[in-house]
Amino acid sequence: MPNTNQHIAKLLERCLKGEHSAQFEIYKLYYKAMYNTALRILKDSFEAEDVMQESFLTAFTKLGTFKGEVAFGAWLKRIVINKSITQYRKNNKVKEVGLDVVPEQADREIAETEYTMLSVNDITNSINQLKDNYRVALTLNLIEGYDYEEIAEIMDITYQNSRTTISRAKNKLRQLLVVSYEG
Amino acid sequence: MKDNLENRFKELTDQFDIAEPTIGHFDRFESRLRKKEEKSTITWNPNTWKWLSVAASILLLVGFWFGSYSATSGMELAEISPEMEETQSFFMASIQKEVEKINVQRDETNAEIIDDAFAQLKVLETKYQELTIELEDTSEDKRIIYAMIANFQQRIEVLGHLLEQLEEIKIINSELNAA
Repeated sequence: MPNTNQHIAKLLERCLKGEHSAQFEIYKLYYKAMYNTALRILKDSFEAEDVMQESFLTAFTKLGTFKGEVAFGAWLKRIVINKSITQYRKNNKVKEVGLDVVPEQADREIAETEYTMLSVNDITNSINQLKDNYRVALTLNLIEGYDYEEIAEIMDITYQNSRTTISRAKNKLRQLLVVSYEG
Repeated sequence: MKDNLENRFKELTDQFDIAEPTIGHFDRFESRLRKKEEKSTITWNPNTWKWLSVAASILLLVGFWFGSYSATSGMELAEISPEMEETQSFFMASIQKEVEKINVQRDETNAEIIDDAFAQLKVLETKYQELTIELEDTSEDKRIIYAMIANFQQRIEVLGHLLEQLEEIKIINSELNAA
């Protein structure tokens, strides 16, 4: 990986000078991960693309403030997430009442071995059935890898609230995964 | 407590990013990048189109000034005064020239945006035809004359914007081919 890192560092230097081609290279390297992150929060391909591209533009403008304490990808991703959350809040103001479509299910844990069979698709489908704040909290936790504290900050909720939401979301997800198995 | 569900997510790290943005996102990003650049590098550096429309405006104002002295009723701008006639033919020639330039560049990668721009042009032309009738009805109301001038400028802007887009597409295609 050191080669890649050097390559990116060089590209970023050129981006700082406003070189168009370098900015486009950076876009090519990161668009997919960033798009998927936005899509998981927003669930709408048009909005996800818009937020993702806007984030790149913001990142290029603010590149001077990037000091390299974290990887560029992580820094960029945080911009994507913040913008996605802002957009998500705007959307939710309009449709405040999200229906919890999770079917009631007798508690049943999936056997240990069954988890290893779960595919990305199974998991994504089930996550997308969760209600909005569960989906967002859970993807930030399990897929993007943020901890309770970071998620509390991102979602602007208390630490306690962040913990509870994630733990409930995980339980719901387990139930859904049982359904997807038995269905 | 790390449970099995979390472990499965760990195993699948980096495999969740499977979705692709809609086709054309590179183009869309490229043009956003450009728009931003234009905004940030304050454009004293002349964009031909801005110059052309400034030049056209001056020409028009002069034409209009003369035109207001020699008021004969008519439908086209050209019928108002010789200066207006000159203005109109200047615009028509510019538009014609740009349309020809664009038609030469047409291929399967850009046909759609060209057609789109030409459709916008058609709308403006229809609007212009309506204005010529209004011009006659109102016996050369200045506002109608301004609207007609603005109409020509809008058409030139549509074409100018299209030419920029065609340029971008060319650059992206060559970058994609090089990659």
